Amino acid sequence: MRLRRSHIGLVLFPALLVAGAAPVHAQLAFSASAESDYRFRGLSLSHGQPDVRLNLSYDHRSGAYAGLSLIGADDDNRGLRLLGYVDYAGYVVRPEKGPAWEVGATNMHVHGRYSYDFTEVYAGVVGEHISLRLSYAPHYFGRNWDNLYVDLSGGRRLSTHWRAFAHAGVATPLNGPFREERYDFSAGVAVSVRTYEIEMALTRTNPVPDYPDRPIDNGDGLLVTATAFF
Amino acid sequence: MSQGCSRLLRYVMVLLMMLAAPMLAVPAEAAPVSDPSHQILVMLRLPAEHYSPGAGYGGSYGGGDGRGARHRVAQKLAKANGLRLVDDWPMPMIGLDCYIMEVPPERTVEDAAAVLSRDPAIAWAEPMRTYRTQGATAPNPTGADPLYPVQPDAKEWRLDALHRMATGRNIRIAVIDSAIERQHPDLAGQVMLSEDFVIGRPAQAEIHGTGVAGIIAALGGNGQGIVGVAPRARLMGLRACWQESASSTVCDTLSLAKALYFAVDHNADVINMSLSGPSAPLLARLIDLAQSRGITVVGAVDPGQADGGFPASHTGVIAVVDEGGPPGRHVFGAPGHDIPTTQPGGNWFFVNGSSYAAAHVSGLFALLRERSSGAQTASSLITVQGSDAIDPCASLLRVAESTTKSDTCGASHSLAQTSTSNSASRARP
Repeated sequence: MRLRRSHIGLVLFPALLVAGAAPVHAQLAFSASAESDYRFRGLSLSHGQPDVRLNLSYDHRSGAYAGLSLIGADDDNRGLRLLGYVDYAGYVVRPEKGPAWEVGATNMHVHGRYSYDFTEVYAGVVGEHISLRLSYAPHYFGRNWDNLYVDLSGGRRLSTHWRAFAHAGVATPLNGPFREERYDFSAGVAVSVRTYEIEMALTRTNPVPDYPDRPIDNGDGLLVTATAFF
Repeated sequence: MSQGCSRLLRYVMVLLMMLAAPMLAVPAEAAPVSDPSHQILVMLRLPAEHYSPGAGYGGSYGGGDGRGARHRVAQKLAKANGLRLVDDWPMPMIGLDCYIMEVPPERTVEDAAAVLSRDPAIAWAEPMRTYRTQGATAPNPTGADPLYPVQPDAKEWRLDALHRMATGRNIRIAVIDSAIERQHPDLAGQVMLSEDFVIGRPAQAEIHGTGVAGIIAALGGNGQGIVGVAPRARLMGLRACWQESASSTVCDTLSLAKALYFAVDHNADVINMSLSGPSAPLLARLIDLAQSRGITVVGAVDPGQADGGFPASHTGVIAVVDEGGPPGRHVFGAPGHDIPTTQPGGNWFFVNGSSYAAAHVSGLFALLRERSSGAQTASSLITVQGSDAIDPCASLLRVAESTTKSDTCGASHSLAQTSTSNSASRARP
């Protein structure tokens, strides 16, 4: 069986776990989410259908981290099925003073009504309330062009149980036939109690016909996510 | 499923979740009340925020992915050590998640903290400590309503002359103390926000906090009461202490830590801590954080302790004692005897103690910082030659570095006559 990028991702995550030689008390986190739509940078990858996610993440005290997210949805009216997965690994440094910074890579593998399979590398600066990230992907969404994505995200705790957040991003094709930039925005609030959280956000994007043979829905409107952390 | 049905399902989900949220906010069952004297604080590492596709939109920072993991770890540790998990409080600014655990009566908190501190999963554990404010009510044998004489700082500190140069305008002073009476006629409008970090002991107004606030920022020119050292300062009333009796006010490690964290997170310029107790690593870490951000921390000295007690003994904290009391190393003296100040019920009374001396110095730093944002540490203070008593006029004239005619404290002080020698160099850096 030919080794594909997607297989590299599936291997990378457990390899990190083993390589980290995580002791029993290592921070291995599980969560399960239900979303009203699987949205990614202004695009609905579940074609407007609700989705469920199982998330696994690992944080080592050195700053290394990794994670895997399985996504399930019924995007073609044939019942709930595994839509795909996203895996990621990176390294974050939190200095004594100033913001933290991180580098990493993520691999997206979605095989729904249409297939998207690409790897992206990123670098970011993470402050207390605001973060900036730069991501680069060759063969973005499995197409023959490179893409640069810049996003700015912010969050602020409003009270013990409530927080507000906002996000703005722009995806810029660096080559290829479609050179229009895609912007995406979201803003919302989240309420958390013990180990449960509900997020409600309004999202918006500009309509850009960059995938004419595999049209993707724009992910505009209300997005609701409920998560349980284990 | 048709598009219409899926959209309907989406909105039904929204409605159900919004209805469920308040129910989730109500505790399923009432937990037994825990005695703070039998509690320890257990610090778990809080990983730095980083990329995560998470469950939110396009990757989110600030979510709770690790919360469940840390909760599991804390539960396991509590169970393995015979403790009961009471609560948790994450502190992203210092990379820690603080778990409060109850120790059974047959064990000491020191022993439990020592055992947990050896566990590699834990950054450290420490017992919940108690702190006491350093003030007392002056005796009033006639029981008459208190009158207020001329304030000692009005004469000794030349308050009117100081206020010609600065009033602490817009300087944010966090008063970490018991509850301040915001409606007091001499404090109306002076408290920009109030937060209560004391669990299970609600209160609207308490003696010590109200008195400290009055010394710092009582209104001037309102025709009643006293004038604060910094009447234009903005107070943050952070209740971390509670009144046990008319002469005793107590705080604990967790409430103080939460108040300190809040003060730093809300950009306080000065933090007043008119209290004293044992040294605590968590409080020390938070004070260091505050100082690293240019916040001046003022602490009241406990004359009964050789080192003056914590936080006054902590590096960088401005340690203040009643100038009439016994001298000490690395402390500053300020008025702290028979001080008229605000009292709950819209009254005024006399107080004594280093608590109120510290309040004077917090107000003074508001004046200094108004004229110079760099006036943050003990090096900004000049003392009267041969004593620990602060010379506020000389201190303010020096940081002001002004040549305006009005910048003078009278014949004995003017810019030209300000000594360039800094006796405050005797203080800790």
